[in-house]
Amino acid sequence: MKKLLNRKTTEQKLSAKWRRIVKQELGCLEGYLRDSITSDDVLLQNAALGLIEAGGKRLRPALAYLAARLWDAKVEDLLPLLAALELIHTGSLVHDDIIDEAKLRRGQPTVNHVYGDSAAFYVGDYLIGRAMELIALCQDERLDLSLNRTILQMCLGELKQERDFFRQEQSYRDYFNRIRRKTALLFAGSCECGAILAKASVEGVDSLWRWGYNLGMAFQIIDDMLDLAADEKMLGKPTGNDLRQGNLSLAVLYTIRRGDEVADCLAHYINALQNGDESVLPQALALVRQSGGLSFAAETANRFLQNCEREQDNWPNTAGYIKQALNEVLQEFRVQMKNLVGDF
Amino acid sequence: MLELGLQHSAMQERLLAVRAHLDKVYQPYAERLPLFCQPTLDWLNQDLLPTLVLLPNIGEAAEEAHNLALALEISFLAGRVHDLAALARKSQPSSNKLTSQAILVGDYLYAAAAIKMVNSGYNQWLGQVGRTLCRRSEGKLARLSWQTRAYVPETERILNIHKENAEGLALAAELAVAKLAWSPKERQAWTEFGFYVGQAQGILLLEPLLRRSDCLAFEDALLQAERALFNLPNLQAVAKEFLLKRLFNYDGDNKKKIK
Repeated sequence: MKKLLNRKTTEQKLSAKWRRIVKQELGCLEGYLRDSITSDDVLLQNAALGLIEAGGKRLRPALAYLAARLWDAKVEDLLPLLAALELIHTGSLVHDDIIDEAKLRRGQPTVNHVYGDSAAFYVGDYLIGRAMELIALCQDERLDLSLNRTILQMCLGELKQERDFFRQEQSYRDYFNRIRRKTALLFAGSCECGAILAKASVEGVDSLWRWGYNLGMAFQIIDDMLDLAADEKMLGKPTGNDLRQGNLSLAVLYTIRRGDEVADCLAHYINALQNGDESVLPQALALVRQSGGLSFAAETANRFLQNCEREQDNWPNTAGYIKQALNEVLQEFRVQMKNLVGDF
Repeated sequence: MLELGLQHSAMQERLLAVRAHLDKVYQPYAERLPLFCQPTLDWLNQDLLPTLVLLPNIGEAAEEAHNLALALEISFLAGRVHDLAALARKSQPSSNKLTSQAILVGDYLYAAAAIKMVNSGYNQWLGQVGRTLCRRSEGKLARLSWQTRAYVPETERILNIHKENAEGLALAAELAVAKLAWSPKERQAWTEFGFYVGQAQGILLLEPLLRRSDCLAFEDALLQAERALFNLPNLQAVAKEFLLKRLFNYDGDNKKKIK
C-alpha cells in the first residue's frame, strides 16, 4: 500500500505541470460545458449534468488546448471546440454503456442504469447534436469534416468489434485497427482541430494529428492493461470487464500466442467465458498477469510514445513550456505503465 | 418553371436517383440490423424529405439538391433506427444484443449525413442540424416521460410534435431553398410549408388519436400547409400533388380529404 502511495506521489509530481496549466488556463471550460447542455427537459438536464459533473479526465479538450497553445491561440476562441470534443466523447460513452449494459461509469451509475436504455439513446443523441452546434460556432469546414469523419470511424470500429469478440485467432493488426478507430482517431482529431483553430501550418496540423494518433494508441493499450491489472476502486468499474465481454486486448492475445500450457489454459477459460461461465474470470486474469503479456503491451505502448517524441521535433520552439507540458503527458503514461508492470 | 407534367416526370426521376443512392449507403448496414430495427419504407415515410428538397429545385442544377436530399434522408433514417431500437429495448429486453448494432448504425448514419452536407457545401448549416437533433431528442424524452403521467393535455402533445418532427422538416425546407434566388417571403413560405407538413406527418405517425373527430389539429396543419403555398404559385400544383395529395390524401381544392 505504502509502495502504491509512493508511486502515486511520483506520478502526481510528474504530471503536476501539464495538469496545472490545463487547470489554470482551462478553468472556464467546466462552466462553459455546463452552460452548453442546458435543456428545458428535466431528465435530459439532470442526466447530462450528472455526466459532466461526474468528472472525467477532460483529456481530449486538454490535448486540443495544448496543441492550439503551441501556436499561441486564445482560450476563448477554443472553448466551443473543447466543449464539443468532451460532448462527443461523453455521448459515445452513453451509447457504449447501453451496448455493454454497463452499470457504472466514472464511479457513478450509468445513464442507462438510472433512466433506462430508451432514455439513454436520446441523451447520447442530444450530446452529439449539441457538439455539432458547438463546432459550427468555430465556422471552419475542416473541423466539421475531421470530427464527423472521426465519429464515423468510431462507429465502424465498434460495428466491426463484435466480429472479433472471443475470436482467439485474431491478429495483433486486428487489435490495432480496433483501438485506432475506438480511441486513437479522436485523440488525433482533437489535436488536429486544436492546431487548425490556432492557424498552424499544414505541416504543423499533420504533425499534431500524428502525435495525437500515437498517443491515443498508447492510451488505449494502457487502458486495456488497467482493465486486466488494476483494482475496481481505481478503475471506477469492475476489473476484467473487457475480457468478460470477449474483447481480447493485446496482453491477452500475447498470452494466447505463447503456444504453451498457459496459452492452452487461457484459451480454455476464454471459451468458458464465451459460454457464459464467469466463474473462470479471476483465473483467466491471473494467467494473463503472470504470462508477460502486460510487459509486452507496455513495450508496445512505449513504442507509440517514442513516435510521439519524434514528432515533437517538428513543433515551433516559441511555446517551450507547452511543449514541455505535452511531453509530460507522455511521461505520465510511462509512469502509469511502470506502476502496473514495473520496468519495461 | 416547367409545366406540371414535366415537373412530375423530373421529380420522379430525381426521387428514384435519391432512393437508389440511399440504398447504396444504407443497405450494407441494414443487413446488420434485426428486422424490428429496420425502418419500413411505407407510404408515409417514403420520399417526404427528398420531395421537400427536390421540388423547389426542379429546373435547377440537380447535383446539389440530390446531395442535400440524400444527406437529410440519411439523417432521418438514423433517427428512425434509434427510435425503433429504443422502442425494442423497452418492449423486448431480451433483444438487447440485437439492438446494440442499431445504436452504432444510427450514430454512423448521423455522421455520414453530416459529412455529406459538408461535402455538398452546407457546412454552415450543421449547427442548425445539431440543434434540431437536440430538440428531437428532447421531444422523444418528453414522450417517454409521459408513460408515468395519468394525463397529457392535447396542446402539450401537439407542441411536442414540433420538436420531434415538424422542426426537422421545416429545416429541410429552409435548406432546400437556401441557395435559390428566392425572395425572403418565398423562402419563409416554403419553410412554413415544410413545418406544417411535418406537423401533419407527426400527428399521423405519433399521435393518431389526435385525428378523432373533435380535434382538428391534423386538418389544421394541412390547411396551414396549403395556405403557405399561396405565396408560391409556381409550386402550388406540384407540391399539392406530390405531398398533400399523395401522402395525406388531402385534396385542398375540394376542401376535404379524399378518403
